[in-house]
Amino acid sequence: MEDNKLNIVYIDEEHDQLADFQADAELSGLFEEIYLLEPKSNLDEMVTEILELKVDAVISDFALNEAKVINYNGDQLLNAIQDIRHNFPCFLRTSYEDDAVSNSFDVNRVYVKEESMELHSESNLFKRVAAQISAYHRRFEAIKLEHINLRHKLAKEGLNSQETDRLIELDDLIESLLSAETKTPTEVKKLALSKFDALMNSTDKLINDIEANLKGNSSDA
Amino acid sequence: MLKVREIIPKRNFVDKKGHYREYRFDLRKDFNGACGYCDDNDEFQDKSTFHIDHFAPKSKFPELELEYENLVYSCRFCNVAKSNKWISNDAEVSHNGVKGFIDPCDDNYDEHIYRDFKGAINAKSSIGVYLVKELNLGLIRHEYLWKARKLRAQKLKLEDILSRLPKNSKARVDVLEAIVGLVREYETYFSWACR
Repeated sequence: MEDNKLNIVYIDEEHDQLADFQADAELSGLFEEIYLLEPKSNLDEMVTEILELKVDAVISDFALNEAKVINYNGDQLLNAIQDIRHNFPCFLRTSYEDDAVSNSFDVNRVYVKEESMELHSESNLFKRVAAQISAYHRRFEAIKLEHINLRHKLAKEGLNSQETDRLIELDDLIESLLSAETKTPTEVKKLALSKFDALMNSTDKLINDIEANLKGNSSDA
Repeated sequence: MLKVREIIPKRNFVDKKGHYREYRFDLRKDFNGACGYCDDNDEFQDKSTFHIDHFAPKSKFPELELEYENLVYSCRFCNVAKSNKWISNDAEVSHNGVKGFIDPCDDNYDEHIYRDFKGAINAKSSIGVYLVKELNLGLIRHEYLWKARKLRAQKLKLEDILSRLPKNSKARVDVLEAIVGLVREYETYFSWACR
């Protein structure tokens, strides 16, 4: 049976906060793996470590430098992740509501920590995380299916220019969701779908014709 | 109908290492510098963007994290798309005949997907449908990079033929014209791939 439980990672420099988060997340029953990470001094290394975990969502504390010297904050970390994987589910936890309002945060990913010390105090956050992961997967699936259908139509009967543009748009979206920084340029895709074939076919024919002639000449000799 | 991979990758014996990233050199060699799943070649891309995939995911089967037999040289797109997906609770059961993954080193891999004459990757079984969908094998980049490799192979073949043709022959002129045409295409499209 395919396992659909969710994996998440939480980043915080304070051990107590990491432990509290883990306890609450486990109690929510929504997650299979809950990875806990302390921030590394190098942002790129941090991003690589997070992405290698292959989690479904990333949650980071805003202030990552209260216990050690870190020259980026949680918002910058999440931006770096979403630069590579567009629209990837990311959440920023902050204790200070003013931070969330005064900074230019993406309000959709900010979550102000609950003051309550009771267990389940973060259940709203976990419900939001699970709902956003689910919405992200549904959207990704819909894009993939439309892409596959247009690919089938292209192979069977060809596409009109509007459909070709839509195929390339969907292709761009999929690449941006997986690895935006190494995405294939849109113009290259247009050319790849239309321009190579005639040249490659005529070159194949030329190679075959000349090879046949060369063989014929050598057997004549 | 063409095979997706021209050469089937084969894992050779490798001494156990302390971290899976230390297998990168061996894996690259055994997978012929290409992604095991889609055959995109790393020579047209930044090699650092190639990943090491754990065929049976390491989050589900941590005991296999350092097993060379469980590692796949993988492009970033296939690796990220595959993520932690696995259809069973057993590392040995990678598919159920309808859904799931096939080890790229298994000869059987090519029984499920094929490449058409334009280079696009398509399914030829239920598992193939799963592979194409879950790994996004229909992405245009896979077709583009295959065409880029084919253009280069054609250029090399023509250069070889040219060296064997008598000077001042009509065939030699045809070959030269074809090489010029290929080089033009090569420069136009490879400038992105080689960056």
